[in-house]
Amino acid sequence: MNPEYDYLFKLLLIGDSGVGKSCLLLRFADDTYTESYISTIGVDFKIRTIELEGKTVKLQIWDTAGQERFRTITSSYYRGAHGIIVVYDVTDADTFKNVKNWLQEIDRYAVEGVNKLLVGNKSDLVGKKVVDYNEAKAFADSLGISFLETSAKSATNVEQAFLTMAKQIKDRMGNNNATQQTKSTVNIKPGQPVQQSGGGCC
Amino acid sequence: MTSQTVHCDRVLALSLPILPAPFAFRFSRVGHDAARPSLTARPPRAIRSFGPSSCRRAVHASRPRLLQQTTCPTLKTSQFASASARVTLSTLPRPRRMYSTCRLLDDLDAPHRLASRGLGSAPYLASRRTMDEPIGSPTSVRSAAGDDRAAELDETLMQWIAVLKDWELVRDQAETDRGKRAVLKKIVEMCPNGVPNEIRPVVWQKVLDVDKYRKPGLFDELVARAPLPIYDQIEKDIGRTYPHHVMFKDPSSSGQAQLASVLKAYAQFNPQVGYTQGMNFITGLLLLHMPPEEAFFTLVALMASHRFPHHDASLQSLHVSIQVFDDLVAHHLPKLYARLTEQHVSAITYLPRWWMSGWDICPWGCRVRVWDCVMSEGYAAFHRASLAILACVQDHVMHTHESEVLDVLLHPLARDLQPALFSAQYRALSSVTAARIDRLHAKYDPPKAVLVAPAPLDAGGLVARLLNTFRKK
Repeated sequence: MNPEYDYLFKLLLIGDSGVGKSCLLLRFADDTYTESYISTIGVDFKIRTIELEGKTVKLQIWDTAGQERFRTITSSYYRGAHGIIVVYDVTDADTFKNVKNWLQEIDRYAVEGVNKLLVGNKSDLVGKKVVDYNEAKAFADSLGISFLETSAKSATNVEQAFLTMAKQIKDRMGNNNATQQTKSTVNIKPGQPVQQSGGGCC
Repeated sequence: MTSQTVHCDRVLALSLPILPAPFAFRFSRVGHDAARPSLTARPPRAIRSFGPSSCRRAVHASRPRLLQQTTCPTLKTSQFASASARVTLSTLPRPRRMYSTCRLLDDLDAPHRLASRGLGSAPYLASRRTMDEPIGSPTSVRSAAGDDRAAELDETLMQWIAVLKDWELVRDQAETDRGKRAVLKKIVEMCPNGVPNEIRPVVWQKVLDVDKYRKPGLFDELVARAPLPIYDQIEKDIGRTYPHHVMFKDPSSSGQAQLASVLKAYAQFNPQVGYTQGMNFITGLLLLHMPPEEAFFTLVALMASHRFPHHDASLQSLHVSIQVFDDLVAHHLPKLYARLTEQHVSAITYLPRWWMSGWDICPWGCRVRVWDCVMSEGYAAFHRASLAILACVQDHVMHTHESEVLDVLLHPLARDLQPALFSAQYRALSSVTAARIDRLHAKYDPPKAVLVAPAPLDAGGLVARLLNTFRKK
């Protein structure tokens, strides 16, 4: 048992290049926004510890490269992820179209039952918006996954996106623990598949 | 105003915002002092007008004066490059060597020629050095360090110039040639100490044999071609390359346009690779040393030399190299390997970032040291340097909480990666040789008949070859 936290969740950010994955992570982990960020090569990594319903939850957030040819690399990062956030750019319709491909990647490489969240970033660019909220919401609903529009620049919904993800994972862990009547504290090691740590998926 | 005077202004503009105040003041005062012709870094008239022999005489006359010009730390070093080259000329009387020297001095002893290609004075490096390079680095020259430091740098430069001259003589010999192997051995021995900033672009170009790839007009012709689809990805990354560096920080800064032109030209030149993320950092680093056209041909030579072999479109070679590296870690750093395995931190989580970006995770002094090793020694140094970096951060990893191990590997502390520490670890890994890397590569990526099939492939020939293969089995 680790005294530092009650839960350790691995979250993965995926999506096309330039949709703002790194900016979302920077906003959530460091509460800052900068135009001076670098392209993510392979993977980047940040940690933030949050309090959720009286429990300390440590979030390991993996930010991945968006260029298509990196998919053979990023596919290996899906292993052991508890939650995956698929990001698109609301001002770029192609990035929304590609969400389907990214969801296929999840089905192919992530563990079954992994929590998913769809995020449309750059919502502050109202004048340039081309992906309609209702269209994206309907798409997410049809797949049974949560959806949020965010802006890393103005900090809109960024906190909510990650907290929603954490809450969903925690609930899933809680359900698993309740059904198996295991101890209430779950200590998950990074990279460990969800089934092993939680005793199955919901 | 000479071209080099313009260059000085450029140094000034780049240095002022980031130099410590006393340096900036002195820099400013000196930079605007028209009574100091030496700041133009233009050789004395005798050198420009006559051949090497008059050059030699002129150098002896001018050298004491050149060495005294130490007012500004950022300019002082560029003066030494030419001073050292001249000393070498006067101390190497053998005809054969002299011939080589003169050829090399076409570049090294004629700052106006170097300047015309943008080499030899590395203005951006000068400004970076004051920010990043730790005190104590062999290549750093600071006013407080005094003449000893200057003499040390002078000595190092002379050694590099001498070895480059020898390299020029044996470069085209067969790999088995004794003379060539001796020179290569000397280069490999010297590179862990780092190449001085002033001569680095020349050293890189010489060891990569960039001259072989240089074609007049090619770069401009490639840049002028119709856009490729991959340009979209390049455009996305232009503003995301060294965004904190003065040369690249905003769209109006010179570096961004240069970076775009070199990357696009390379995509045109080698459409099979096109552009893979990470090449922006590698090209950016070249542009910090040389102008766009030179950076382009250096990039072409670099990619052709398989020193950075991981940017192919399928990233297949990256996967193989990661397996090779995993073996090396298990052998050389067993405790660290056990710890990483226990924490499920596989090499594929950190190596793509390290390798594809040209070790962007390292502080500047260490990063160029790694590059010096890889450029000088070739692909084996790629693995050896990566192992040395792991060895440098080993203690930190071993004492880090399990959930943050990857964070240490992707964001190592500058204190763990000082150039001297890196060099010590690098030297200790001398058993990581090219032959060993080749053997490991053969283990994980055995040669495939299809991959080495001679071109062009015709359908009939292919069928016949397949049938033959089948019959043999």
